[in-house]
Amino acid sequence: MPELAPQVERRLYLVRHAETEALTFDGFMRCEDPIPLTERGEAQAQALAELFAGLDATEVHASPMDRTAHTARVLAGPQRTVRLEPRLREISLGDLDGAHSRDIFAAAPRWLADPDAALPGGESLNDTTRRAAAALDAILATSDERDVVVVAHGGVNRGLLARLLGMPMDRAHRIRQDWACVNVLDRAAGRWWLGTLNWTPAGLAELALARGALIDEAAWRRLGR
Amino acid sequence: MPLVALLRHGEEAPAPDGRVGVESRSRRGLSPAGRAQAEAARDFLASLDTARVACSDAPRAIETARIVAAGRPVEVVPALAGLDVGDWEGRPAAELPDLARVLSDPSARPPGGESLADLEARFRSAFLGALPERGDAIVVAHRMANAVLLAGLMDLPPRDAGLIQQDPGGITILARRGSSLSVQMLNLNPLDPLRRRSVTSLA
Repeated sequence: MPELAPQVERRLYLVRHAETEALTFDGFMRCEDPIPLTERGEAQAQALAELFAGLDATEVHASPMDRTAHTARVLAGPQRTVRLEPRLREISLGDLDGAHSRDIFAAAPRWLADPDAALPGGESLNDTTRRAAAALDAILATSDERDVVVVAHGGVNRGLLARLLGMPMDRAHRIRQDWACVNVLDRAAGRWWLGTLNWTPAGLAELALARGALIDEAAWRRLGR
Repeated sequence: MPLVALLRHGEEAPAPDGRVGVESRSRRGLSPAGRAQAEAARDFLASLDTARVACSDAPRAIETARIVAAGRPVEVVPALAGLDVGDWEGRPAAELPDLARVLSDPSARPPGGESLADLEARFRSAFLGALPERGDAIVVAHRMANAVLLAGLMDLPPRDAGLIQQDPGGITILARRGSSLSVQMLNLNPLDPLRRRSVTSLA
């Protein structure tokens, strides 16, 4: 029987990196470095730094890829240590890194929608989520701070959110994760509680601009699934 | 694609006699903090092309909706009410050992009140009925009502609905295509985005 207001033992701030040039769903998809932030991405990371400035956490954990490590360094500011964790890397596109999404989904039509589908030489969502969850467990076990900040990727975050909250993994790819978004999850009474999903410093502005391209069933059907 | 902002009402004014109880049918309005939350939500939602603002008939929801509506008419929909706790109304939570079960077992019903399953069916239908044919919408409702609807949209089991937090004045953004809704952002708290002052709870 759950308690009405359980003690929050840990708070996870799960952040997605700020805007980059690559990673588009409409054209060519690329995951591997070098992928720098855009100018707008730099401003988003700076906004995250202001948002997190008052938080007590002395560490920021991040995927070692350019876009996450850089977002984490800006967010952390001079007073916090950034710790890079390779198991938080983005889902690997394998041999198809840099290919057009047409060709990627031709090679694996059910990639992401089927959490066990992997690209040639790459990973499935379940592979990715398992290693990222192991990384998160290790971070939680070694850190003695209540608030844990993790900067990772769209695919990694979607998999982790679905897994921690108990959502079916085959709908993880439909969880919205905007550039530089923050998700807040609380560990209490042996469960993860969903505090906030996909907060961004930009507020509704990004969402309003993206009205035609929201992630939903129809958008995914347009991609051929 | 139209958007729907689903809000929880702002913080309620405390009872004049200082009593704290389980209340679904309270007739009190907002506290000063509750009004500030509603004003922050109004500013956050200013870019929406709002065609309709709807809320439950609870004064705290109506007051929140009037602030968020920024001069637009507000439609009061009684079926958007929060969980009806029946005979438990007004009693302190400490006196209600079965309260946590009602909030985590969809079939458990308080005496004279509603189960989470009852609430989900009633609220979902009222919510869909409150949406305009075109344009964006703002709906101001209640903690567990919002949570059971959102659990359904996120394919979470109904027993876990209470794990989805809805802070006072919290904003959830849904995208809408026909009758299909998808969660875009959940429980945004513009005055406290990192939830540093928010309480995580089942109710």
